[in-house]
Amino acid sequence: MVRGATAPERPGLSWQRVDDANGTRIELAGRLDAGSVASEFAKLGAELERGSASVRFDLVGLESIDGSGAAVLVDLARRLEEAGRGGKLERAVGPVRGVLDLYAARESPHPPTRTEIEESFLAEVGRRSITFTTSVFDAVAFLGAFAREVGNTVRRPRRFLLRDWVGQLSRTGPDGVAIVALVNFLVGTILGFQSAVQLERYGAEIFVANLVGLSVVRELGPLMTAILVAGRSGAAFAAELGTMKVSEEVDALRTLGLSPQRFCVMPRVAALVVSAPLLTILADLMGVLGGLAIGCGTMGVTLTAYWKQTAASIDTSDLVTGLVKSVAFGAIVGLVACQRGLATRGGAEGVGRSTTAAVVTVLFALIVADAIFTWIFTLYGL
Amino acid sequence: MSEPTIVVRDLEVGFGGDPILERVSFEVARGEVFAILGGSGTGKSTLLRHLVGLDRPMSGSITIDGAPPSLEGRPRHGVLFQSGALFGSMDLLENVSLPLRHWTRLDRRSIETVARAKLRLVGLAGFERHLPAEISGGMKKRAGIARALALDPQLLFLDEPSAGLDPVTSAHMDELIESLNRNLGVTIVVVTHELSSIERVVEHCVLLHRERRGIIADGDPRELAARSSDVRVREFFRTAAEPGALG
Repeated sequence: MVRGATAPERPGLSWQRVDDANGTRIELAGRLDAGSVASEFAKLGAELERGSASVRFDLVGLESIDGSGAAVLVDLARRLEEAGRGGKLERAVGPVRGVLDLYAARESPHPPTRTEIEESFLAEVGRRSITFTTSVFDAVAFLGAFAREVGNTVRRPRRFLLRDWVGQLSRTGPDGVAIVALVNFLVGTILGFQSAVQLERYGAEIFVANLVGLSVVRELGPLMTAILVAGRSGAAFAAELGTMKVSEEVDALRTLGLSPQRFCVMPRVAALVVSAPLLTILADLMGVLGGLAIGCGTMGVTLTAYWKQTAASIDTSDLVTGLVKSVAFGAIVGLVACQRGLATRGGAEGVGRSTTAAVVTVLFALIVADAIFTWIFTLYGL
Repeated sequence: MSEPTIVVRDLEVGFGGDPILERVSFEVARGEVFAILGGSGTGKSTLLRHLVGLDRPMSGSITIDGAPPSLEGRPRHGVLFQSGALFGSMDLLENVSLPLRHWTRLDRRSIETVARAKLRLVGLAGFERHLPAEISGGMKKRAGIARALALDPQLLFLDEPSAGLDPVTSAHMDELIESLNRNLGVTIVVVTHELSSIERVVEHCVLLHRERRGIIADGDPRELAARSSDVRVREFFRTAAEPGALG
C-alpha cells in the first residue's frame, strides 16, 4: 500500500494505492480541486499512466471536487480506458457524483487530435492556395470596381462626395504635418552628417547640399512621406473599413443601393492623392533644412552658399519626378489599405490581421513602385 | 395563397464549393410575415444574405417580383442586420436620412421631416441626435428598421430582430413587426428562433435542418408545431419554447 497527500501547508487531497488481484485501486480522499490537481494529483496521474496494471478510482472518501479536478480526473480515466486499463470511477457520492456526471457528459465523443490535423497537410496547402488565388482575384476585382467608380465620377462629377473627401483630407494632411516635418528634418540631418564626413576628406563640404538636396527631393522625401502616410492613414483606413465590414455596415451600404467604392474608397484614395504630394513638398523642404543645419552648423558653409548650391543642384525635373511618385504612392497606400480593410473576415482579430497585412503590403508595394519609377525615369533621362 | 413575391427554386448555397443548403425551394406570398426558422448553424442568415442579393447562389434561382435580387440602383427592399449595422460616425437621423439623400429628390428639410417620422414610427423620437454607440442594442435594431423603412419598401428582411433582447423589448419588436405588416401591408421575411415571435407574428415558415442541409418543413408554424409527423419538426418547436435553447 502506498500513501500520498498534498503538501502540509495546503491540506486537501490524499490517496491510498492498493494493489490487488484486480489491478490497482486508488482511494481518493479529501478535496480534489485546482490546487491539488496542479501538484500532487498531476504526479499521481503521470505515475499511473506509466504503469501497465488496470486502474480504478474509489471516490467514496472524496469530500469535494471542483471543475478543474473533475475535468482532469475524467480525462485521466478516459485515457486509461482507451489504453485498455480500466479507468473506472467508483462509489462517487453526493455533490462529487453530480460534478463528475456533468463533466463526463460534456466529453466530446470524437475530439479532433493533433494527428488528424497533421494528416490534412495537403488539404491545408490546397486551402491556402485557393485562399491566395481568391485574394488575388479579389484584389483585381477591387481595382476594376475602383476604375469603374473613377469613370462614373469623371462622367458625373456630382457623384463625388465632397464633404467626405474634405473630412478625409483634413485627417490625412494637416494631422500628419508635424510628424512628416520632424522625420524628414532628421533624415536630412543624418544624410548631411554621413555625406559631410566623406566629403570633408576631399575639401568638398559644399557638395553636401547637392547630395542632400537631390536625395531628398528625388527619393527620400516622397518615400519617407509615403511610409509615414502608410503607418498613419493606411493603417487607419484598413482598421476603419475592416470594422465596418465585420459589423455589417458595408453590407448595409450595399443593401441601401450605395456603393462601398463610392462611399468608402473614393474619398479616402482621393484624399491621399492630394495630401501625399503636399506633405512631400513639406518633406523636401524639411529634408533640405536638415542638411542645411549640418552644412552650416558644423561644416562652416555659409547659409547663402548652401542655399545657392542646393538650388543649382535641383532642377524642375527632380521636383516633378518626386511629386509624380508621391501622387502614385498616395494612391497605392489608399487603394491597398482600403482593399485590405474591405476584405476583412472574422471579428476583431480579423480587423487586426487586415491592418497588419495592409501596412506590410503597402510598404512592399511602395518599394516595388519606387524601383519601377527609378528605372523608368533613368530610362528616359529624367 | 396570394400571388408570390419571392420564389426560390432548387437553391444551393455555400462557401468554397461546400454547400450549406441544397435543393431549397419555397415561395413567399405578398403581404405575409414569413419566417426562416432553424437552430444555430443551419444556414438561416446565409439564406437571407442570398435573398437580399449580398451573396450569389451556387445554383438554383431566386426571384423577387419576377427579377433576381439586385443591389444596383434604388433598393426595392429594406434589410435589418442582426446588429443593426448602423453607421457609427453618423447619428440616428443621418443614418435614416442617408438613403433619402441619395435616392430621392427631397430637399434637406423634407428629408429631415421624413427621417424623424421614421424614427418616431419605431419609437425613437427624441433620439435623433444620438450616435449608435450611445443607445442600447434594442434601440439600434429599431433604428435599423427605421433606416430600412426610409424608402418605403414593400418588402422587409429582418435578421434575428429579437435576438439578444430582453422579453419586454422583444415583445415591442414583435408589435412593431406586426403593425408594419398590418398597417403598411409590408411583406416581411424574418430570420428567428424566438418562439414567442413565431407564434405571435409569423403566418408562414420554412424550417431548416443542419444534417438535411435544407428545408424539413414548410407551412403555418402553429400547424407544424401541433401536427407535423416529423419528429425533428416537433423537437424544434418543443426546444424553441425553452428560452435560449437554440442559441
